[in-house]
Amino acid sequence: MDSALLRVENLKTYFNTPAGISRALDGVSVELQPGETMAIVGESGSGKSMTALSILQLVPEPAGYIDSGTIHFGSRDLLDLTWEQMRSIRGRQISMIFQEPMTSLNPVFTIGYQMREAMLTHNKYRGAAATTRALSLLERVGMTSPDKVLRQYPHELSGGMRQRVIDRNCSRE
Amino acid sequence: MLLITHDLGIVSQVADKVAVMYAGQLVEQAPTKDLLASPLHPYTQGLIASLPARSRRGTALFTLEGVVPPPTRWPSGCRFHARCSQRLDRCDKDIPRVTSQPGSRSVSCHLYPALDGVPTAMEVKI
Repeated sequence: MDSALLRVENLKTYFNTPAGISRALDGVSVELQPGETMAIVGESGSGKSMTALSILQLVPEPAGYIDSGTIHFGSRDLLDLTWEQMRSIRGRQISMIFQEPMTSLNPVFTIGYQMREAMLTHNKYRGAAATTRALSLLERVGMTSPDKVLRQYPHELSGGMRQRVIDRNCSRE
Repeated sequence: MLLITHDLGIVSQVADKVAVMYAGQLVEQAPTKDLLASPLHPYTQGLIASLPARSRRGTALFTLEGVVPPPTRWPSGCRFHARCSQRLDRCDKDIPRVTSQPGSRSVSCHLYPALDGVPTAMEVKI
């Protein structure tokens, strides 16, 4: 019986570099049960972020590739899925909140534009419904004037506010 | 949730368990409380010792000498051996296996030989 939500086994992610093959991940196995939170720690260059990128299959191509291993999410091995199938899992079933909120938001578009765009990509809400939804999401993370935030650009928000916008934009419901 | 961070303070607040990575591999996995209270791997011990603590006020912070080597040239044997304060003779030659330890823990280090009758980490739910 296997109740694991996520089970990564012997994952190897390599990069072809001028200096030879870079073994960024060299046999990583982790397991996560539903509702469980697991932290991955280590110095820069130890492979933490590469583990997350590999699970979402966002390893920078063509230099990087998953050499071998399995990534079971529920009953499916994510490595068997097509790009389109994987795309429907990203953001809906598996989200990633990046560490640096400023670089995850586009500086030349308003917060409202970017939140509506994310909802459109995932076919959830459009038009006025998207705006209403964005307002309620911002309210829920404690923004005092969400209507103003929607018209603002990323640089007009504090770091913490930006992080909460990303957090909401990744939220699965 | 998988949380990727440098911040062990956040880890202690939100994570149920922790995986410690070094040079593209996992070196230790344990429930958060146990890992912070009694780290097994010398690398984990170093990470935790380099945190500021009120009890060590006024003394210089511990630092792990050196940096993670480039991934095109991982060291032989245990990848951490050159930086390890508890290095054994075999550490630059033999690759340590992941061994299960009591309390749903696992570690990859020659200081912790496999325990008889305990399955290897690949077989056990961590």
